Amino acid sequence: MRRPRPAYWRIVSLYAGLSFLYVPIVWIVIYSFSGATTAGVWRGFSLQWYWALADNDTLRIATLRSLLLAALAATVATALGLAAGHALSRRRFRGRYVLGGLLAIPLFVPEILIGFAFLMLFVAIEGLTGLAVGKGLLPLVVGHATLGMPVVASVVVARLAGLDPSYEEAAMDLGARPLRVFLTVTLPLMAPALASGWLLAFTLSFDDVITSSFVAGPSFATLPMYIYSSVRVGVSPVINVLGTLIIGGVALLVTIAMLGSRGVADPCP
Amino acid sequence: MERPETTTAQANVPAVAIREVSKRYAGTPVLDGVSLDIRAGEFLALLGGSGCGKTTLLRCIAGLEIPDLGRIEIGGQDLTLAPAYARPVNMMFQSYALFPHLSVADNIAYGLRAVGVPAAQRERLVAWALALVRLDTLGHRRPAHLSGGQRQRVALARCLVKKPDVLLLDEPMAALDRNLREDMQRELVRIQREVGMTFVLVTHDQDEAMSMADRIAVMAEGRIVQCGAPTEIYARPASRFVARFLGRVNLFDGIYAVDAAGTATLTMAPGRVLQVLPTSCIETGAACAGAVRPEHVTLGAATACRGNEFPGTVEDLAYFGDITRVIVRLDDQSLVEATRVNDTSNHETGLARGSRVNVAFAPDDVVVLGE
Repeated sequence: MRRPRPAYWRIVSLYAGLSFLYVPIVWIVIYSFSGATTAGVWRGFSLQWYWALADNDTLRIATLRSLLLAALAATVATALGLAAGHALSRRRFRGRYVLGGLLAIPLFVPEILIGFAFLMLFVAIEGLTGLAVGKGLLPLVVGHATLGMPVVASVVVARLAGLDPSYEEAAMDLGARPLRVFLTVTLPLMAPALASGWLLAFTLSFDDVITSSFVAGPSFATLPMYIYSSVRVGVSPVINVLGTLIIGGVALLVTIAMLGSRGVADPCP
Repeated sequence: MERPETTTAQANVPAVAIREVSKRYAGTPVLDGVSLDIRAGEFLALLGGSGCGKTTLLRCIAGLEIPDLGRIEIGGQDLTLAPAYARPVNMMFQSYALFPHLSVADNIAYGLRAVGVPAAQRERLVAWALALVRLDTLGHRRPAHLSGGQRQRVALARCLVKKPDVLLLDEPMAALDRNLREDMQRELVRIQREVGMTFVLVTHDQDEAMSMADRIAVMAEGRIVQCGAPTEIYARPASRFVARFLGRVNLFDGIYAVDAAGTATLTMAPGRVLQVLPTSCIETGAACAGAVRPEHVTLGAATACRGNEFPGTVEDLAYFGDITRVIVRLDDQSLVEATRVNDTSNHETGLARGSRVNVAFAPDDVVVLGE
């Protein structure tokens, strides 16, 4: 009997695809250790830009601000997305399909329009009430949560569609009122979907430039806004360092998540 | 909240009284004026094919569906519109619906926690339920690490621990393989006797219904077509549907008549007449069917003692070990099935394909069914 030939071309194409993904990232990591004063030029190994980052208050504040903003926006988006997704897939009411469609539309509307719309809205609210809603963290959280919410809702709907309703019926039958059913059965069974929805919303917020540019004042720059504006005046190698640190952090989180999920049985066989 | 105890003292109040319950899905009637009294302490089977409404009826009792019309009383109280969590009944789901994120013990304790049973009492009850289903040592496991039979026992324990007035079981054996199924059927009957609760079982399996239930309600097209003890339903089916659905049966179509001497007959064709017992339910001249169970049909040489006798040829034999089914083609081309019990040591029936035989059965073995 002939042994099946190993599919070399598949392995080659896998490596080609991975290179496509990782060459730019590896580039950044390598050049973060360069001693040159211009990003993208190599002049000897040096950690000087790592020290420079530690001294750069503007950049550090922008990073912390972006992390806080992404966490808040992702949490708001997850709460709203869970509520919307749960209602859409577990309740029968008039206009359910229309509302489901309305929820999906922001995913396809150009973000620049959403950003502009938020700007107009905050200006209008300020003009009408005199409340400075358009300043600081609040408009950013609202704007970014809007980006994340439809994503979370669609993840929730997909998960609930695959979740046998008899779990919730059994809980109800055993004497649990609807709120208890939701907290002790629906929510735990939804946890993996909520976690991935939260992470997607976090990512959307963390690297957002467009909406942020519209709703954040110049004194409240997020990290992507800072990077974007600094690129226009000349790239500092500090950005390479920052990129390396972020990539390292993400890689660490992904590794932990993969190790954590290994050997855990799927809750819904 | 005080809940009336359904014990023998109140045996006159049905555990569940279903009154003219109807339910439609998207215009299609699923339940069509169902009325049924479920007696306290009995084991009742709702038997019917898929789509007959048996599961919907069960879900109406559980409170997971609300009937469009009619009333459901549980323990004498009208609970037609009560939410599922406020009813003294529990349901075991076909999929078992064990919470995958909780251990076996926490699954069983779920219903006790939901109503605020104190921890000490909860632990005692969980231990009692685990012992009842013989899973004492598995309380710490997750449902994913149990076998199918063990999961079923956990689902049962989770309901029993609530000590409901009525336990509803939706196709509980569907997910088990055949050997395990028979063990669990006996186990379920044992548990029902031990706890003395009212059990309502939904099944499409006639053997399951007959071997387990005190009474069977046969359902078809959203109605109950006959309700009674298994022997009663098997021996005296009320319609062709019931006769066919429970067990195997030979049906002879004909016209019923009683002559001046009081002898009742069923005329299938000119010259082909079945002797039957007189019945008051059917009028002379009405079209009806005579139903004869295969085990009442004897095969042998021509005699003139059994009343109904027809010559034919053996068309097929099917050997089942304990019995052999014999299909005989009568000389008028109709088919009759007979069951032979293989009680001889060599299981020889003395019959082969093509053998000429006489098919015979007594008039009192024919059940006359109206249209």
